[in-house]
Amino acid sequence: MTRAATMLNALALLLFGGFLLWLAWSDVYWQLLNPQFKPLTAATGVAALLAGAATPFLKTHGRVPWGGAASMLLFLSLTGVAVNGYMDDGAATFTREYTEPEPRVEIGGTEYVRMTAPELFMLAEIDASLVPERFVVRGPIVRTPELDSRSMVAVYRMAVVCCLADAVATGFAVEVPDPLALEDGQWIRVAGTLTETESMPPDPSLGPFLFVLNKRYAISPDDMDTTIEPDMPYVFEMRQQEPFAY
Amino acid sequence: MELTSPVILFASLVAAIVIEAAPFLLLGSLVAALFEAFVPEKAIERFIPGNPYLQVASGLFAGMLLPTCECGVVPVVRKFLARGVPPRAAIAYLFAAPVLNPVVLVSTWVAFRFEGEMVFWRALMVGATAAGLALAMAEARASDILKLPKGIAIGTSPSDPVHTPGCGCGHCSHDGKPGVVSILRHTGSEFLDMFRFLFIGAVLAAAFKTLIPPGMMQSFAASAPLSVGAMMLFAIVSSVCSEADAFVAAGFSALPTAAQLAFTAIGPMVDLKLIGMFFATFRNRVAVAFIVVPIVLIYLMAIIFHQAGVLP
Repeated sequence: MTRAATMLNALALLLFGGFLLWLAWSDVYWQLLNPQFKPLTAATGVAALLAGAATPFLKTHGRVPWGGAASMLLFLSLTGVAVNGYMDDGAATFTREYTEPEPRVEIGGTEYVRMTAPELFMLAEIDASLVPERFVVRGPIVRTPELDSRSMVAVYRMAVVCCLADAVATGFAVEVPDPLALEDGQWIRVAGTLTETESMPPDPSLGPFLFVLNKRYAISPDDMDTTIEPDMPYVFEMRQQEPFAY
Repeated sequence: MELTSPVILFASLVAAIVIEAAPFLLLGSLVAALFEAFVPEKAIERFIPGNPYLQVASGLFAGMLLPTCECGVVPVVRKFLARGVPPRAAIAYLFAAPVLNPVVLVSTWVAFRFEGEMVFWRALMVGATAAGLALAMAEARASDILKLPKGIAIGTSPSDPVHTPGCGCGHCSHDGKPGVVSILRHTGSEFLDMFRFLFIGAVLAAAFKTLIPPGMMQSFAASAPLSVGAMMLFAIVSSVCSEADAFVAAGFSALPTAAQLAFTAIGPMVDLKLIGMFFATFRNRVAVAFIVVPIVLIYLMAIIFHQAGVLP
């Protein structure tokens, strides 16, 4: 029994280490964590592999606990469900727009600065004068009855600083001619300016994720269009100056 | 962004929390294994001063040199007390070391998006509670605190029952000088031991986030006393390791900072696994004090700091 528990511990560590190494090199990683942590995950994978390889080689005395190994194997099974789901969707690939687009774009003869809603939010909170005069952002929309009644939708991006569990949807209200013509989750591209507002409806609800709607500013669009979801929908990096992420 | 399936969302949240915390848990396990292998206990005792306040201070900051997570701190403190380390220093170490150590401080900093203030407030809440409990030890002797087997007195036990042949911890090989393989094995065993608590905590956190209606979360968020109490209860029940709990707490970003901090402060001092260890190691009245006092102090500090508006 002691030997079996030892081997189970070794197996769990080896599988865990192998999984982390695979994950660090796979395109699934960003679905769960900020890619800046890839080296840390890979290093942990190597360490777990070494620990697992060392486990069977030493004699042990007394009972060997196996609860940790069992929970690790359970964790790997559960994670397999998530990873399999992403791979089945084909969502875990970078095929489009992996290279950064040009920092500025001309729309209708006017130049706009490309940026993300979280970057816009951050600059507006620090000092609104830092916000480019004309900018373009893209993101999915959320509709609520309160926003509908003001002829607005909220456009947002999911900012992931560490991992999915601390992801925050950060967005702005956008004036639109007919909110009923848009659907929740539909991606739009909005080019325009910031407008100070007197009051703003409550934050929309987005399942388990925190949604923060800017309460001081809304976006007055010069131009708006529907667009497709990029291969990297999350925002992992927030820059305070050009070139911004997009 | 295929998060429409609740099962995939739940599994993704569990995976994200665990994978984010795993490097810190493993690093803590490695440091503990290295220390256990290479630092003689007498070397620590030599540095403990005679002044009561300095004893408390040495206990508070000993975790910077001897990092221990709460999963392993009780046996270590029992060993310290049995070897003559003053209770003031040992008890300060018991409650402070799981948080006031480099690994946990860095993991807290990373988990809370590189906000140094969160690290400061967490350290303050834990340090103040640990110092209060340590000073309350006054002139108590180890025999006043420890629950000892009949016929065994402090200093007469041939060997403390921590990590000896046959101790049953499953970590010990006791096969001579520590080598790389031995260190790796200890690291792996420590990591596996603690992993289950991280996993359980991640499952509870993910379930909490996925299953409860958003409106309920907002009602928790609206009430600091309620959210602080709920998160403290969650910390005690979930028993997440101190090296990983900041990542769980950071996931509750809809709640007030006070609630997140209370979670990270109480968890390393009182949780389900620690309560069992307290009653197994310390006299009953001491164990009760070790459970009740931190709960009351952390709750009060979180509420006061929140009301004072000093938290980020």
